[in-house]
Amino acid sequence: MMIPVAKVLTTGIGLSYQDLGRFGYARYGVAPAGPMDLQAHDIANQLVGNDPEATCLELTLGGGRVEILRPVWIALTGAASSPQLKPWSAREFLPGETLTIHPARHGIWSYLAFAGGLHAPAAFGSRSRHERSDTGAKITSETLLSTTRTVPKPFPGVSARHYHPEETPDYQVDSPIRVHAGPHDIASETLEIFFNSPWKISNRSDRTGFRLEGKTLRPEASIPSLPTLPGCIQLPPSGEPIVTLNDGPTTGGYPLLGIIDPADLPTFTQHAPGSSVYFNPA
Amino acid sequence: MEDPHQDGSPTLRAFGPNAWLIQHPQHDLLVELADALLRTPPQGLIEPVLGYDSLLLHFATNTEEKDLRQFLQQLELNGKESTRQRHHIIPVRYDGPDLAAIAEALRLGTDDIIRLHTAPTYRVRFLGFAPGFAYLDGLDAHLHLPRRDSPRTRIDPGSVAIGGSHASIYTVPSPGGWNILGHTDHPLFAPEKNDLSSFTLAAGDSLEFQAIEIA
Repeated sequence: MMIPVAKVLTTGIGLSYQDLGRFGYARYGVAPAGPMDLQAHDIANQLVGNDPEATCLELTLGGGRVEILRPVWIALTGAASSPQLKPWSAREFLPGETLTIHPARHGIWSYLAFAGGLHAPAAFGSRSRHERSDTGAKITSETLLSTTRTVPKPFPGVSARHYHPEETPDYQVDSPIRVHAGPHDIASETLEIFFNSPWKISNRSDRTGFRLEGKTLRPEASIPSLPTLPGCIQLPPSGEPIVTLNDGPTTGGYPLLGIIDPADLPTFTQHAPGSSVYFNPA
Repeated sequence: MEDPHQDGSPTLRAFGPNAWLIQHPQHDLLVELADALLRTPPQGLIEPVLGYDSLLLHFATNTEEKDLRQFLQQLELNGKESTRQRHHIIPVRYDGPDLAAIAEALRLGTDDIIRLHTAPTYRVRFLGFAPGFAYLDGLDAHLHLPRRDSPRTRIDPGSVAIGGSHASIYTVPSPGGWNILGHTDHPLFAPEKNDLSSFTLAAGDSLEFQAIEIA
């Protein structure tokens, strides 16, 4: 079933369907895609009463605008602000309303969840958009957003829901990112420099990976290509580390400095280009 | 490439809290192990992923090393070639933009390059980079050449290419730095099928290129 509930007016620099990601095809070269901030994605779904695997919209630095066509509950989470909807909250929207998402002062990714979950065609078991391989449906301005079922009153008698302010992530707080040892033997002085230096997120960062700027590390000998996961920190010959993320290739030929703890990936990916980040051994 | 396993025994290394990397120089064994794990997955296994000489086991949650070792010891490896390993014949039009330059660099004729490329039986070592993109072992050493200095921004699907010690065929429009020898219409990635049958090639398969006359 498909019920059109809203129309996309503007997409900003990045607006995509994301469910939990694409798994089971990595051995054929298919990247997982999925939300860059799994925690914010999960809370968005919770706020409108969806299952965790429901498809949401992911926005890059805000910038999206949608027009509401039918009564529908919508949640906004992550790094964004909006005149119509407080971040980390949900409420019912009525036909004719417009929802505009602006960037937040800190962070990159934000999520809009619609009660009932968004409908999008499944490709290899997932509705997540992977731009590089043109997998999953692409959103443009004029795209009609439909939900898989209609949930007119998910919370009878409730006018709005707010996520607990004390539990809400703060993207300004700069806690170090925990990194697990990778499978390669990296020179101890290289690791010492890596863990004791500040790193800056490069402007050349996107859903495929984040580049780190700072000290130039001594490269290690290249290795036979091995599978990678989001959060793998690769050391290319340039000596500038690259963190593989959800849309990146499924294999890599560079030695790994380490692997970011999956629980810290949301904190890491919400570091905007130009911001600084520290790493600690897990 | 140096063999990192002097003693030939598989190593098991932690790969973050939710994954383990098995390394072994014998590629056949890794392919067989991946097949066995797909048949009887241990609890919480999301998927096994093959690399050049490694197999990554990606779990949904933290898995203890001793539990995994115990599971791997109990796995039934039948020691036979997997029934799913197939042989593919890929017809190629040798009209690639880099064919002449490679011939010139090696002081050979383009016919010689075509001969060197069509002679071997290749083996699919692993897939990565893009959906259905296979890294093929077996490229003649004469053709082990550096990648292009400046990668192309768009390579068409079906482009038959060589890069370093590997041969491959591009499956989706993508940037790339490999040298392109020709093109094939042989279907390699059919996303509309939307399941495992979308992928023509799998790790462990064998493959040969056949030159087709350009009319």
